[in-house]
Amino acid sequence: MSLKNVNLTEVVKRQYFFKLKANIDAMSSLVFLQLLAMLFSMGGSNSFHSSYDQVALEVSYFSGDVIIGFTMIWAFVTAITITTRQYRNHDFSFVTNRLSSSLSNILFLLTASIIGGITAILARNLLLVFKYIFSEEQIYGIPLTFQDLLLGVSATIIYLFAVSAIGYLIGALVQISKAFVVLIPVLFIGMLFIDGVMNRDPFIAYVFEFYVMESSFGLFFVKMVSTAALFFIASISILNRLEVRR
Amino acid sequence: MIILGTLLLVTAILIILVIVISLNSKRKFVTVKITHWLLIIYVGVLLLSFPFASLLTNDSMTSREKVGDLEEDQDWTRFYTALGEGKLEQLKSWQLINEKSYDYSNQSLKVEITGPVSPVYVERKDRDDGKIEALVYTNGLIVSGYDFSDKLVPINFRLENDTFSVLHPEHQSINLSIVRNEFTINQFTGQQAINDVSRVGNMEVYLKVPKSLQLNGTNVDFQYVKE
Repeated sequence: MSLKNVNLTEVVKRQYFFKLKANIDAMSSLVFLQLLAMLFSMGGSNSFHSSYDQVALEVSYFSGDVIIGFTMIWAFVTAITITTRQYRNHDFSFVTNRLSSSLSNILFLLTASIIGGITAILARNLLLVFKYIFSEEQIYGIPLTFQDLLLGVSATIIYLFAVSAIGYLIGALVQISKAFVVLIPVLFIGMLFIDGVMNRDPFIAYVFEFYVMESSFGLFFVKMVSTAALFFIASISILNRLEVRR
Repeated sequence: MIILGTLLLVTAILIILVIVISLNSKRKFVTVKITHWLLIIYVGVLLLSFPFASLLTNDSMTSREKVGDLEEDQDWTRFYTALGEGKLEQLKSWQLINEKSYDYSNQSLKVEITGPVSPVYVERKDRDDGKIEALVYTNGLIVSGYDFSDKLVPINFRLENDTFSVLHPEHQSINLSIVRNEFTINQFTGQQAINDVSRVGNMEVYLKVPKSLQLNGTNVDFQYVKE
């Protein structure tokens, strides 16, 4: 039993810095995934084709959309990974409780989202350089303005943070029972299936409309951050129910 | 944008400097793992590619004609109404992609078309000036709101004896690579998320002929305007 009193902030801070070092390898997978996404985007993120008597037009669009998509998968997997027992046991190197462990995890995921968001938006430029080197085609585009760059980075960070919140909640649920590994995909696919059978819009369309179609950045921020906060609170509550060490 | 590019370049150079100094220093103030290296090099490359990518795309698009946002069908109607009614002043200067003038003083002219059969708009002038003016108009090749009509090989003409030929080019393939902002930016700026090709480069022939010239031709759909 320790006689030394430590406050929560101090513990969270120590654990956070420890996790930054311990989980640095997650960044290798981020770099690898973004490079892979660039490879997939070399032919264009999407394309348009039109053909009639006189002209066949083929437009290939280049953007970092696929890179952002891959980075989201990375954020999701990273969030699940840090809830696993192996990673949670790292916390016992410190005087700790479930709350401090979760708070430091959230801070780590926020940092990961920031790194992921900045690199994902900047990666578009590397994609263009690769495209130019390998195809030497003229690429048409309007240079990114500073305002758009800031907007893109901020929104991507928020998306990644929200996705990592979902991953963290799923990870926490799986820690309660392994049945959730099967249950969650079944629930998700089942709901899509039921919506299809009942001939109505899939629920995911409403989720998409609520978050992705939001054109006001302020409202988007509020929606995403509050949703992420709810998911993290739920995760903390779930993880608090676990035994101290098992 | 140049300022931003320079800033990023300076940041990249600073990062490289910090690495070099930390490696040469006797007292290491940064412990660098392979993953750190990987991340630092990756971020450095990303920052360096920023000004380079800006140079690649700079002015390639903005130097082009920005076309106003019109509904596709509304614009289609306006284009063909202007041609059908001979109101060429309603069309933009960039829509005229080929213009030829021929001296011709005979009373009749045979018109033939090589390639797909399409209407030929004919405007009779007020007088017999002995000149045939052949024009090619396009409704535009508009991608992302910018005009790429210069990529089109226009319809050409040839006048030999009493035969006027409208020569359609071989079926042409146009490939364009367009950079688009990410969905995380477009969501707030309102740029179209899916394809934004609004016009695909239709071309139409418009002839201005002397008042009394008689045109004839098989398989030619003459559309006389202002009559």
